[in-house]
Amino acid sequence: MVLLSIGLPGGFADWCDAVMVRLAGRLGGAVSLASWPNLAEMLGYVDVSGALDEVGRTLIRTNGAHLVMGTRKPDERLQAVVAETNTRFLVALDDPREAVADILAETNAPLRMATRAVANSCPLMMRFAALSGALTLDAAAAMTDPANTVRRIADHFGIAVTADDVGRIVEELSEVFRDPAPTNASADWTARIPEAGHKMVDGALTGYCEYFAGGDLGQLVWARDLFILVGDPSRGPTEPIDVSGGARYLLFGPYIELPSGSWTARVVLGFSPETAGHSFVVDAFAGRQLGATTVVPASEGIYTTEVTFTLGEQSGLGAEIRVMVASEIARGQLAFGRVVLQPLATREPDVAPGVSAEFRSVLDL
Amino acid sequence: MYFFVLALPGRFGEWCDTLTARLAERMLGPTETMSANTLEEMARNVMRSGASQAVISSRQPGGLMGAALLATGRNFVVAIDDPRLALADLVLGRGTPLAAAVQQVASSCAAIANYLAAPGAMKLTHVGEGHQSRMIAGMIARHLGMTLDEAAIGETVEEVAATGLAPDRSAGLGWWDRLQGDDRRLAEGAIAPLVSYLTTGNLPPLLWERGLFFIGETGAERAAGTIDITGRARCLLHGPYVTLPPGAWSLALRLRLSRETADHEFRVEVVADSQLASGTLRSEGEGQVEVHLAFEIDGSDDHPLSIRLSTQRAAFDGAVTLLGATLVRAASDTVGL
Repeated sequence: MVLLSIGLPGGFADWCDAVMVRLAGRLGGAVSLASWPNLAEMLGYVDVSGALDEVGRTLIRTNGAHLVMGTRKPDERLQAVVAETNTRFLVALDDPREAVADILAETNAPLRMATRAVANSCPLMMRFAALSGALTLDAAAAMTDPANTVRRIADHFGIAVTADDVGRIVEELSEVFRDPAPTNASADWTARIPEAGHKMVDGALTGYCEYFAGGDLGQLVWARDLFILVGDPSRGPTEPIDVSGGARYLLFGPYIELPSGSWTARVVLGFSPETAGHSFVVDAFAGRQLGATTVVPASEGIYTTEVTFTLGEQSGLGAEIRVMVASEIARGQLAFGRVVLQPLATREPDVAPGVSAEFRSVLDL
Repeated sequence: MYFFVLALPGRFGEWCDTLTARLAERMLGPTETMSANTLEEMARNVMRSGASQAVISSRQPGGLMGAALLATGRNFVVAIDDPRLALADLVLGRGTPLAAAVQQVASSCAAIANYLAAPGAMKLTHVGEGHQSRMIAGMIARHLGMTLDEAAIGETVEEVAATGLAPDRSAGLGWWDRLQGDDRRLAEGAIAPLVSYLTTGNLPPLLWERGLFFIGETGAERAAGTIDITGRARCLLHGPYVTLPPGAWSLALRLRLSRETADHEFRVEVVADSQLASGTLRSEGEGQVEVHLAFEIDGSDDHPLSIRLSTQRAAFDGAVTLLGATLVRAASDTVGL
């Protein structure tokens, strides 16, 4: 039996995995726990799609009666199978900024990579949380009454537990997990992440915090620290960039997944006087070019340019915004500000078959 | 707990699947049998059934699933029969059209041959009924670590026999010998070399007749005759979706082109999980041509091999006839099984 525990990387999802292992133990037979992908894979710039392959691989490797699959980056194929097989599963939602702080506490990863790893998981959490088989748990609410949370999880998976079982699970885990969902201000993410990085983390993730709290996605802001400078991938475009040297890309990134749908990216750029009259191209890319616009600064100053694009299925490596100098003879300097992403229309998964049927009927699909 | 049975299509494989599942059931309780050739199929089927123990029946084990199985060092069963009899079982027993049956049996032979000599594999070949069935059942139980006594094994064999399933053959080689004309060429070219491969490890050239291919981009219509190339640039034919044993391969694709195709370019691609080789053929008018491509199969692919022939620009007239494909594996890749 496969028990799926989907969640943002961090303490709360790990706590939920551990609860499910103990609950699965009540079913009899050996229980295995696997967490996928690991943090190193999530932090890297490689495509880690293939959740179902990993479930199959883990089933063969563990050969246990029950497998608790802690999945931090589920994908479209897993979503399709979950829907097709009416699989019940858990979605563990934490404040994504707390998840970043948890990753930093566990690894020495650069903040931009930790932010990117969590931002990559968020759109997938949105999709899975909307499916009918999901039990969606919010960390802060769930941890105010852990015993009740354990009971809810048990009920969702149809596992019979006694009050003693629940008490034992909560007690065991309180020794293993010190504080899976910190609620006091001193342990808040702002205290665990260097202040210089707050703007980057907040911009990339606050929209998801609001969405997970029941609001709208609002906007996402990709700070310049998330981007990569062409010629020196270890650096972000934090300093002005010399545009002379021929037509070429100047910067790219951040390879972050976005929810499917139509988006506007407002890109803030600064130009020195020498760049006046030269062409710069800003495009959105995810496996292919999704949209592009050309900026020709008339004079020095700050410019905001818009690229509108539509994203379909998750691309694997995520979306990027690229800035290119298109003129061979351009001179001067370009400063990169940030990218503000605004959803125009996002595509929801088919959560209500009845509604879907109505649409099909009305639109004669 | 999952028990793996890799087998050729046909009655013998089905008997091994069922027998293994019933033996597992005696030891562990309810045990499902589910078919899976890839990790994804296995995950999907386990999630759908909620089964905690199952026999995974695989007819064409893909590279990733096979690698995962071998990495565990666990024992598994490989059941093979004469591929010609497996073909007869599919055609006569299940009514599978000959071309589809050839495709299934050829892919199964190539995929399963990878595991015949693998660590953990127990190779089973066709057995008669009665005493031999019990012996095989005992071998399966012991190899898969099932602690069952002789009486339980005997009862299980009888239980399976009572369902009407037996390791016998629905047809002898007479059916194969009676195949004639196009059917004979279709079956013999793709299957006969694999008979030799499974018994000796030596693989003669494979000959894929056009009846194994399909017309169009994704269509399911078999490429029986000439293909009109009139229209936009497009894929003219694809197929046969047959797995090949690992090794270095050379393909010779034989085509007949009509006079109107002169100056047209055709693209030939060899594709499995990804593109393995491609080439361009420029028509010089009416006549027979041969396209040669070399490629490597490393055994890690999940998808069978297909050849795609496409036009490169729109055509007002012209026709192409596929005469066949010959695939030769480099001699250095011959291995003992």
